[in-house]
Amino acid sequence: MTSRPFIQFNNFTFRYDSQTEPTLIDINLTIHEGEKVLILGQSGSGKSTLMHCMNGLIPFSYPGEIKGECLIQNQPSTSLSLFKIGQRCGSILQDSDAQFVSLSVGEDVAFVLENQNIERSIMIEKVKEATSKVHMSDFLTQVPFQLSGGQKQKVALAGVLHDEVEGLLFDEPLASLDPVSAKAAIELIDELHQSGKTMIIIEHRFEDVILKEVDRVIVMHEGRIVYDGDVDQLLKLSLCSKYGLREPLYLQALKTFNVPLDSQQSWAFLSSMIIPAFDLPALRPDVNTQSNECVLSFNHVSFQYDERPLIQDVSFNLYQGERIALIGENGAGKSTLAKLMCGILRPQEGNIMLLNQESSALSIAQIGQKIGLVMQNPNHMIAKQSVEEEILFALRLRHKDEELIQSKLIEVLVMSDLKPMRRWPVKALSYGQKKRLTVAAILALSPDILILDEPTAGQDYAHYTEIMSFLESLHKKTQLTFIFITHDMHLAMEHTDRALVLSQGKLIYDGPTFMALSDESLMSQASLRPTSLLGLAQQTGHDPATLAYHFIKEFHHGQ
Amino acid sequence: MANNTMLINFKPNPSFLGRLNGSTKVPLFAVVLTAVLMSFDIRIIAPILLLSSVALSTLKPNKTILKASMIFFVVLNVINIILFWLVDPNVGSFYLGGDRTPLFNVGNMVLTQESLWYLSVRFIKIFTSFMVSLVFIFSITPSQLAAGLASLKVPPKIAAIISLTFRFIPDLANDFQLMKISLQARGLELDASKVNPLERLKRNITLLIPFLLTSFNRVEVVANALDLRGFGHQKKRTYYVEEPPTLADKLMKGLTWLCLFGVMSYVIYMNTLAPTQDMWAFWK
Repeated sequence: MTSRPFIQFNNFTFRYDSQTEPTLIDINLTIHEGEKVLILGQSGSGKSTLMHCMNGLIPFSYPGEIKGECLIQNQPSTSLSLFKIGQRCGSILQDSDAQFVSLSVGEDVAFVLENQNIERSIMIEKVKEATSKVHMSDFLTQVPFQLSGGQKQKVALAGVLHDEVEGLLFDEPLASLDPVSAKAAIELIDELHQSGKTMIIIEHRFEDVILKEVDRVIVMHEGRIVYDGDVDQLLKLSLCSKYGLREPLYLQALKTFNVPLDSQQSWAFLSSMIIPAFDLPALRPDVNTQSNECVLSFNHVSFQYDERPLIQDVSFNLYQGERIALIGENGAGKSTLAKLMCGILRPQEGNIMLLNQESSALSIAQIGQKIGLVMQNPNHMIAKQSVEEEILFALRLRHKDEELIQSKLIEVLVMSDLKPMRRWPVKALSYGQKKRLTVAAILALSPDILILDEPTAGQDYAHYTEIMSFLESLHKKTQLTFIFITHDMHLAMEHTDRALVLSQGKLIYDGPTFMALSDESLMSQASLRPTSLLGLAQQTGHDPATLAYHFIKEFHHGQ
Repeated sequence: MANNTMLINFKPNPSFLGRLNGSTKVPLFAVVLTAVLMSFDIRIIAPILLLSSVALSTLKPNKTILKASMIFFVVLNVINIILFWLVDPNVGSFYLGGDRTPLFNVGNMVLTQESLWYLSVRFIKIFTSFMVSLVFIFSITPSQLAAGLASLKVPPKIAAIISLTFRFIPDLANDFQLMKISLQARGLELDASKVNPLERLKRNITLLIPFLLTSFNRVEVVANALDLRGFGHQKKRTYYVEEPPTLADKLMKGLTWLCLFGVMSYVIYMNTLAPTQDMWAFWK
């Protein structure tokens, strides 16, 4: 490794003009050329602001007050320009869709070259070279609407790879990716690092990033750097929970089972760890919820679009009070299934029974009173300006009696812990509060089933915990049937009892969640990535299902 | 969202016109459209109508979209010329040197040969401009349009705003769809058979607030993405889609110049030297 500094912060403090308090406080940090650095921190810790300082958006796009200095290859960033910084250090933003500004892969990769007024013949060669580095050469004429999130991200990466750029900055590169694409992204980042580039990765999905070795981890908290060292020490000092980060699952499990770990060895790679033997009680079958009332049943349901079968012969029964995980890779048919449940799409074959009523006889609005759909992005759902108005919106559409409306409003506000904020404007809410508001607005309709589409997507561990514990307590209070559509295997494991696994429109598994996630062949058949619990089970010789079962039980008990 | 939705092509049309460069197509269409709009001469308009019909058929446009827009346009225009005639049954005489040759009566109004000619030419002219526009829309991608506009010395920033708009239309449509679904599920009835059109319009406006808010969020990211990749760093920029001109490009460019000369001299002649000249009619 060379020791030439790539980016250097000296006593750096930054305050946005729009804020009274500084967002970054007294940052001292040197990142050397060729290093691979992971910057961790929960939302609001200042890590995105730090990234803006590294890519020049601060000070060139976001005005603010700077104290101290930020040097990029020994030159103060203020003396350069956005363009000059971009030539040394390329940025890949979190929103892979919005940063795709052109209309085809080739054009988007060429975008930076177009802006430099480079001749087309040279441009074509450079585009070819950059796309081959990210393995996207066969996609040059594809339009953005045909690409997955992971592919768009590779395009963004290729777009800044020209001219032997020295360093690459990734802002939460895994935020919108499913587990398999996330693994591919991490491998690609590692491949580029091997070719000698400086890599700076900002993430909170800690366990996913450290699949491949990183040289250094920096933890940000409340605008300051609170840790700067290797992965191993971070894990051993148990700093994750202190700073709102999720510990790798295998470590969580080992701690839950009180397994003493040798602190001489590295804890960063499960496969190289020596773990003392530990005992687990035998697996006991769960209480059967299937004696409850059947709330929703699919009978041989098929649906196709443009002669492409999206759902093929799917049958299942859901019972009151169950917590279901609907899992499967992108395009497996999860959202089509949810749309069929809500009546937005209607089955071409088979039938759907909703509380012993034929769903085909009901309108979307009628089904909506029984099945509530909470969309991934709260902004897609909130139609009104204040908390109260938002909840009242659907109530007023359905009821005339003002007294009933008011009592329902209070009930829902209390249930979702939003009562103190009832007159707040929606704008003033945090992401977690907005999520609660969307759930509250649906609860106002007194549904029997709640479908939650990726309720925690893109959220850090603190927000994840906030949202999920709210949903847990809601489930205890109401005994509604919850259906989680998710990529997050941790969520599925910790918060659901039963899993429906879809692959290419077919239901390939219906049974206890911990069994599904412990079944390696099922996971690979569904193109899903098992959690590190499976690896832990294999390494310690335990039955994966038993291990998972006891971990979840103990884990919940501990909470 | 697939290709060819909502009239926008995101992939170049495989036909002759589709493969031409943006810097060939945009000036060509600009000149042809000007020719149609500036003249009332059927000898110019008719060949353009014929050519644009042929061109449209080579582009193999989506039949349903084509049919719907065709019907809409024809109906609108028929109404337009009928209104013209109702307002002044002698409208043709004004343009044809004051002659008045009655053909027959409709109620107590007279339809003259001159008015019939004038209104027919007017109809064909507007229909032709519509056809030319259709050919343009179906044969060009937003990127080619941006490159073409830049070749006409439109500032690259403005050209980029146009192509960015097209880039995000399908995404915005998708957002809108999701919001609509969410509100429908919460009881907002938007079914055409259950709600009258005015009420439906009002309810769709309810959707606009969250829609605008999500769109504004996107603007910041897009702006950053543009800045970080050096957009606007230099006054001029090149275009990845702008291929080296082929023989077809050169020929069509020549044709554009020829048209430009023809049209310009004709327009200048008609509008300056001979402003009182009557419009051409086959019997005169």
